Amino acid sequence: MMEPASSYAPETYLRVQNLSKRFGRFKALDGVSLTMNRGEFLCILGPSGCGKTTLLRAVAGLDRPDGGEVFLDGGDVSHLPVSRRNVGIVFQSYALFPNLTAAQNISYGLQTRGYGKARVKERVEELLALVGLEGQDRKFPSQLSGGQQQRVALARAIAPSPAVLLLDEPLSALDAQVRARLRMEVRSLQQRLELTTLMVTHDQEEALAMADRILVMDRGCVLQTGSPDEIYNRPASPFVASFIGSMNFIRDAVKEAPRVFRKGGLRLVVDESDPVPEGAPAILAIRPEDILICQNGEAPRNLLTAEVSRLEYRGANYRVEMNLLLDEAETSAIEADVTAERVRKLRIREKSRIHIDLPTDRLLVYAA
Amino acid sequence: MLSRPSSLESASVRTLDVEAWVLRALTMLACLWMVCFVLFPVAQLLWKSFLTAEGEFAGLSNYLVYFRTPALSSSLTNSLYVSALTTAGSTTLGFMFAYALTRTCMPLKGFFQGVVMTPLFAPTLLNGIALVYLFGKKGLISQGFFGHIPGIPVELYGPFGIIFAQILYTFPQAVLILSVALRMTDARLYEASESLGASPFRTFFTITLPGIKFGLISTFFVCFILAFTDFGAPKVVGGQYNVLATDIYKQVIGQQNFIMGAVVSSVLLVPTVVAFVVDRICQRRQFSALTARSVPLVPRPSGMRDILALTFCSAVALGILGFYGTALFASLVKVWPYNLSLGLDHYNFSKMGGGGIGSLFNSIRMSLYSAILGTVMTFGSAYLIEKSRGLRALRQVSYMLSLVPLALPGMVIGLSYIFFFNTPSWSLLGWDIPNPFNVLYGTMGILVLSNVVHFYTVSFLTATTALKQLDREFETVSESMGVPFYRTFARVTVPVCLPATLEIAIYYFVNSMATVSAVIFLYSADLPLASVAVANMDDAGDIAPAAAMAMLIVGVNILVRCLYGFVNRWVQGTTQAWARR
Repeated sequence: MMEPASSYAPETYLRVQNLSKRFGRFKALDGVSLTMNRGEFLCILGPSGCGKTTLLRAVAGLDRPDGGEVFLDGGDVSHLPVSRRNVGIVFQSYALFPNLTAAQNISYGLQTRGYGKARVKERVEELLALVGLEGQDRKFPSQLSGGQQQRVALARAIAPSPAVLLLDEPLSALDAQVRARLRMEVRSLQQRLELTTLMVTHDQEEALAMADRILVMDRGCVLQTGSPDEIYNRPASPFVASFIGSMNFIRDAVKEAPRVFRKGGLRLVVDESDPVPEGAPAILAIRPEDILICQNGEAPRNLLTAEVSRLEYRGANYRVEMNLLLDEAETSAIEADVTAERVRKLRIREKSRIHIDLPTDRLLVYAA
Repeated sequence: MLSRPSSLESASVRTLDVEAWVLRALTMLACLWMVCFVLFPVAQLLWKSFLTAEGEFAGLSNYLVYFRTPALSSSLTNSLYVSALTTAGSTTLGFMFAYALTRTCMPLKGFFQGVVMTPLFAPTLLNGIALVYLFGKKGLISQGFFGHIPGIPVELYGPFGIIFAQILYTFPQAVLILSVALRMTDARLYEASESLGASPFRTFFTITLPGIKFGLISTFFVCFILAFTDFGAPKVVGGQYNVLATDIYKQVIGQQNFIMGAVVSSVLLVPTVVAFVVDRICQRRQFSALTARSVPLVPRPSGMRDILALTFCSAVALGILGFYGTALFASLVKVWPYNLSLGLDHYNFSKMGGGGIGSLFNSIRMSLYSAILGTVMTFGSAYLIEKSRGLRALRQVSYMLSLVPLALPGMVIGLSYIFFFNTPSWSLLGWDIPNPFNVLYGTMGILVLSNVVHFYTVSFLTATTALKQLDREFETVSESMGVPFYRTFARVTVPVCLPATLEIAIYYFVNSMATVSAVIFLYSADLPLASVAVANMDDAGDIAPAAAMAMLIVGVNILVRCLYGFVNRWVQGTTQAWARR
């Protein structure tokens, strides 16, 4: 269309450019772009209503976007219906045909593609083995467990060897334990088959555990794209930071000097440089698990005093809620995750006054 | 457009664009079908009521004539009066019966449930005929069982007979709707009420009644519409008491006054449409109080209540069985009430007018065709409306149109079809448009079409409900795999919905067998029908053969219903094996 296919890097396999979609006055997609390499697992993560499912459906060709293009394997597929995009889809509800057996469900897309009977049978056997359902071929969906149904849906989607696998919250209907196990299975299957996979989820843990790259969306816009590590440790904005994991924010800090901030009577030092001009307000952020409890005698650069207001037991660790003493009168709430062993050893209780360290390499800075 | 990788260029994949267009064309056809056979005929009928016999525009003058002729306009009040009383009686009795079926621990529930449905298999003419044998001049009750006990003379012909027959006719519908409403409840509400110390009386008025509010409203309107538009009962036991449905018949068949027939039809249509619209508005407000987490209410035994329920239901069941038993007995008796020896003399229709036994076979044939065409049309258009994408506005229009037949009385459908199919051509703005459906006039085709439309809405809603239970992504999944829609329709949609389609088919068959109102205008002399023969023989005073023919209709319906039971069991056992865990 606009650009010749040869202008992409050779490994770019799927490219979405400037997609937009409105439902009435509501902007579901507001100029979304993304690229995917062959064999990559990309996760679209965002709160409900952020446009992630709309994006997936537009990539699949199920809904027509109002504007923008989709390129797949070097060709423009923007105007092709779903049946001609060669995509495999797994829905949240699985949408397994209830009156067909597991094997018939898996072979459903093969029969119309000119596979011979023997080849269909062979392929079904192969897929059943691949998803670990040998011997379940004659069972109807209602006779399978939720996890097994999920695997049939996956096998059915990848049976016709699609160019891209699209997963729409594929694990959210399962209970926690099955979900954790299937997470790993789906991921290892995807890696073994080198399937280019696009998954939509609102579950950050799922995204962190499975994806090569995560794309965070909100209100129809892409907020950040990056590896799970980047997204978690270097969130691009306070929104991303608070959406993924928990995050403490120290608001209304003022930049005093390069890498030095003041909040009330506190002075905080950070390692990394930031674009906030001197004298301007800033937001400091730190994850609860990065806050360290200090023993007497330790003197890190950001040593602060806090009073414990509440302890919440979580098995392996405690969530410690504290009030940071800013000066004589003012306090600011902050939370830390501390191992149970350390809480016992330091005899931390409610109302105890403790010293904490906000490590300079873990503090994040955002412009206010 | 850039070329795609060659692996995707298989023939089956390329046909899918064609399929999308086929689907659209079918959706348009489904809408066109409703426009042609529902909207146009009724519109033309309404239009006729504003014309003179010569086809000149007459404004409201026909209506002025109607309302200035007391013999005509009194029918409107008569119709409203009997329908109101029928509705009140039927709703009350229906509620008591449904309550006993769903909220008590009385025995024999299955039996009662079966017996109460009997009237659905019979033409309403039979209700009138049975009444004649019970309360007529030589009736069983008015003569005290052939003089064995003192008789109770009753003024049968008139409102009493009509209301009695119509309560019987609408009773099963009331029980059906209210049973569903009473079953849809959450036991936890009752437990909460009990734990808060509310009396049973208070629980009934604060939880039971509000819980079935929408069911009651629906029952109310359904009974009213059925009674208001019923033709069979007033035809037989109406006597000099005129109602709208019989007036249309008298105007059209008796006096050949088609214009006045159209006027009366319009008058009949107004309250019916109002009731229909009000019911729809009420139902739209309904929210589902029942969630996936609701606990079904299981009635607990309670001596006094269960005995009362059993007594009441036994009395009703005995009444119904005795009622139809009397008609059966009368059809077998040689000369009522003088020679009570039994025989099949009245079942020999060769000396009678009305087409004889051949009419029964015509009826069976017509009902079979109606069942097939009706099932295909209702399920097909419900599928297109529910499951296809695109053409959203058109599908919504089709859905609305599919609800309209529920508001159309059989007489109105019949008369509007006379006008519509009999017109050789329409002239519009100087153009002469020939009527392509004219050839159907006087054939089996028009009879089948009128039945398909007459019983369309209930079947359509049954199909829609069944289709709604299917995952919405079945179609998308198939499409993404390049499987054509008709393949998924045949391999998944239809097999999964088979029980619902069978139910639709049986509904069509039973109703087509029993109906009189629409077909009485449309049958031709060489295609006599059983239900019409009942009306004609009764008209001629041959009431015993009329009862015999009506019994045959009931017999065929019960037989087909049993057959359906077997087929259904087989279907559940074989093709629905997936539904069992």
